[in-house]
Amino acid sequence: MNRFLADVERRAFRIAQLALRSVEDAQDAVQEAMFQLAKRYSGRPSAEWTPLFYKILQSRIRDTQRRRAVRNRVLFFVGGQKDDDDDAMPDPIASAPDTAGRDPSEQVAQADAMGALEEALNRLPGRQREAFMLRILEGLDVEQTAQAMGCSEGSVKTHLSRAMHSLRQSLGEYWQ
Amino acid sequence: MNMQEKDDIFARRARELFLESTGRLDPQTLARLSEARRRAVDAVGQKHPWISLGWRIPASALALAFVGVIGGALWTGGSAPTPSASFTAANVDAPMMMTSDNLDMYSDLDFYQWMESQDQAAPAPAAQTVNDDSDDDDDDTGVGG
Repeated sequence: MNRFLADVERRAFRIAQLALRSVEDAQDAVQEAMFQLAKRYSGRPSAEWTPLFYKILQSRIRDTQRRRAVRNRVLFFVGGQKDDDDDAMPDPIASAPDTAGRDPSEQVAQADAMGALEEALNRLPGRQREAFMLRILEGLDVEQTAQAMGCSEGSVKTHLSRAMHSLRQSLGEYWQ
Repeated sequence: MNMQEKDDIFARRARELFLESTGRLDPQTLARLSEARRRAVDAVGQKHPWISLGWRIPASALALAFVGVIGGALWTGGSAPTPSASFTAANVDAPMMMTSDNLDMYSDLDFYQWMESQDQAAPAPAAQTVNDDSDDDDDDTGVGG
């Protein structure tokens, strides 16, 4: 279990961060997913852990998004304010030093490309974003992605196809 | 280049950027993830974590409060549930319930009331006739004492 979690934790955190756009919320989501997987499913075959872990994580991400939507709605009615705390937080990825020893211009290009991808991902409908992140970024196969999303494999393919189409349209110049 | 090849190139590029970004997480985030993993691994052996001390305290308090409410109600003379209007003590024929007579007789009370009214309305016939009728009635109803 420890080896599995150590292998998956960074990617899981980045997926949660891409979906939630908040370091703190992403850390909480990954922590909860780790704990629930270990507590409930440690006895299951290790081959099942990956889809189970991402199913828990996606569930937690959706819960956080729902709570945030309600909170923003309440704040809007109460004072006409919007909760921008998350957006105001510095991006730890952008501010972190480059450990690969690349020149600054290359780092900037990579950061710009990743930033554009994040922006484009956040414009996608939730299910399309989930399918793209799990299938493409995390590298799950279609069956695992369907298990994690709680839908059929056909739905995964549909969501993914639409996500790819939308992303390629909006990011074309970054990916030539 | 067909659509599938374009999609493959796009997906590969996205995954490269994503994986590259996971290698640049800040130390605070990495420490938090490590701590979360340690806690998760510690939770593997927990069979029933909800019966931990943290849950026992409110459960005990709830049980104590329940016992207190019941005890208080009894101490202050709390009465049994009030019977409905159709089943009050006044409506119950206590002597009937306490008698050792055959209770079957009470199922034919209407008959005896009718018979009594007939006796009062009609003039008394000859003694022999009355006795004969009475015997017949007793045989029919099976009420003989």
